[in-house]
Amino acid sequence: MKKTLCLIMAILLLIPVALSGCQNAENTDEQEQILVYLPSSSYLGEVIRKYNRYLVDNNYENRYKINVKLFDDVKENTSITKMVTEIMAGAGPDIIALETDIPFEKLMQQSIFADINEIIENDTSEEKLDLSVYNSAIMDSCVVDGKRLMIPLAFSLNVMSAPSDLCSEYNIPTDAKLSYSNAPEVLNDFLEKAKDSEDMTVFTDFKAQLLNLIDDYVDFGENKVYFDTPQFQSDFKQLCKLNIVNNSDNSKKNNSRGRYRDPYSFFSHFYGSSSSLFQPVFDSFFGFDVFSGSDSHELINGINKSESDIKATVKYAMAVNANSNKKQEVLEFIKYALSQHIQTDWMDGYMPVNNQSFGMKLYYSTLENNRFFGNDTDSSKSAEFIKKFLTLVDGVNVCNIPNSYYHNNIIGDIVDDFISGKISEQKFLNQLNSKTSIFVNE
Amino acid sequence: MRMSVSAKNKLWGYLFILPSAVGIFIFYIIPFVMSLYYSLVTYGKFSGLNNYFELLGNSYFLLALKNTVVFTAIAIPLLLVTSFAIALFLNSFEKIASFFQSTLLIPMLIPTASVLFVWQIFLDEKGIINNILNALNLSQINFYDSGFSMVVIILIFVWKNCGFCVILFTAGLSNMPKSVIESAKLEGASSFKVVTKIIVPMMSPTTFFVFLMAIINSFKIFREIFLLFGDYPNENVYFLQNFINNNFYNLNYSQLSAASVILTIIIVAVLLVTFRIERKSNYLE
Repeated sequence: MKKTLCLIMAILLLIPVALSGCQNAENTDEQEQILVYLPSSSYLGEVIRKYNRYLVDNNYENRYKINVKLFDDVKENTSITKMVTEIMAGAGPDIIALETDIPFEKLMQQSIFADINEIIENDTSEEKLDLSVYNSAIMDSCVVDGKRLMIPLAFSLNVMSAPSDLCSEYNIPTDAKLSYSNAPEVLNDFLEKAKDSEDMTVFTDFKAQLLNLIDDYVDFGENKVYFDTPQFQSDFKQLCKLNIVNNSDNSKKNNSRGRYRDPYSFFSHFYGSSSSLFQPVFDSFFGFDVFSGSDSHELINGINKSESDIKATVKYAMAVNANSNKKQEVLEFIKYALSQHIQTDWMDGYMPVNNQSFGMKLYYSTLENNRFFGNDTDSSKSAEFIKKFLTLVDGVNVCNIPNSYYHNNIIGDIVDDFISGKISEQKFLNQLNSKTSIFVNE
Repeated sequence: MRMSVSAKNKLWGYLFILPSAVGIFIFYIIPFVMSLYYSLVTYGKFSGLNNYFELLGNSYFLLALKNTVVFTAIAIPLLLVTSFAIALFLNSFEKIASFFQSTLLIPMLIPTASVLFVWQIFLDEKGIINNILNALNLSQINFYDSGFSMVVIILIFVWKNCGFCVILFTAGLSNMPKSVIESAKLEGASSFKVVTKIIVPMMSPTTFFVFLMAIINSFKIFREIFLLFGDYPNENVYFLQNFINNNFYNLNYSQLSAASVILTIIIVAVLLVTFRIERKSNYLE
């Protein structure tokens, strides 16, 4: 009897010990490599694949190669929890991509990310990274307390375009400087007309505008929320006046085939149907044709808190894990991702931070416009449009790092519910204030 | 070398508790010591009690602590009183007791998500209760975004755990010597006096056990809060578990560890006080 019990207990103790050796051990080659976790549809993943091929072609050592571990689509939250746990345990991936659904807005305040300036200073290679050749307004948006915590790769600009004929028809000045407080007044004629029309609306994406307003009143750096200030209350009410879709039958609007549908006929698949006055350009500029069809368009600075704000948003960026012992190897990838070739060809429709690449993309974009719309293109108009665009890019004075975790996980539900009319304005504002205050301060 | 019988028995005893001890050591003691370490460290550097001071100056930690204390202080006594009253009632009707005991256990057996789905049907902005209030021309109650949220959570906690506590109390009542109660009644004691002067004191070991179970279960209420209100509930039902859970996702492990240690200290303090009271008032001894 005793022997049997002894045996059972021995087995009980041995099983966990024995099984602990059965974990999926990475081979030595993979352990040497730089590690990154990415969502399956990651854009950075494409750049990494190209980089890995480049390493093989140029006989780089294995330690420079990047081992990409894709998040499980079905269990993405579980994968993120695993990654977070690894980081907490003092390990984790070497590169943390902005595309990962973790609260970057909060993490920037902690020492989770390494100071990239320090990594650059410690670089002993011949080709040191010179950050002065990149867009400083965008690059410096990731500097917190003198530490460069992320490297942005591309950005977008909060600008909108509107058909020229609509601007003149509704007395909208082409050099309008819009803010939340003056927008309903500037767009008054259009709003009056749009109220009675099924085919007209101000924005293609009101949610983006609302999130833009919310971001303007949260200071993650100072842990402050300003939703209970009279200015926010007033700006919120003003912005809601522009959401004229909300005031009538949504289904009718969405199915409408009105006069202003698909003003950008060639690239309409980028934007979907549009019966709106403003087409946001901030998601993509270089895929955007300026003068499709016979209509010409005006470029107008987006609606911001202040009329003088010109706002940009970082699109692709990466941080280096402070726990990483492969920081110099990661720096090689950063150099590659910021190189002129990659910045010109691999930043999708977004604007590259590399100034030379930016110039080249702008040049190609102008050529494309002329090629596709040759006879109809008014070259002086085109030049004027591009010039205005460049003025706006040079004048960027606010650059945000996307608060996607905050937008999606903290306030996503209530914003959707408010826009679809499921919850009242008061309830929305209460919940917005409560959730954001907790998120920012805890 | 021959071992004495008592030494052999001791050895066997240690061997028997070894698997549990190993589990407790690996999964409880080591993580707790690590938490203690992380709570004294900021960004890899020793910072003494700084994290604790910062935490005590964090208004949302204090809010979470206050809400947790308020919940525990209201929900647990309410649960004890309700389940004790039901147990007393069922004790008088032995024929129907088993049916009610089984019925009361159902909330514990149904998965939390399903239970909350039913509660949502009642509590929603356009749910049954608000529809009834509307029909009666009364103003709606916003259960999800007002002080009522706490009431809802307390009700769900009591409703869910009542059955289990009733079974424990019923078992305690059935083990009580009936002769004491009968002699008290013969001497003219009223039912109220029998309950307050005889049954309640004699039930103290059971009450103590139920209290411990209720404390343990009260910390599991996070599931219900999470499912009803999400990661970031309104400020009325923002509990310490929310604070700890959110700080995990924010990777703020110094703060998370300090909060966990404070929570542990509170639980241990409550348990020590309870043990002391139980020892002093154990009538059966």
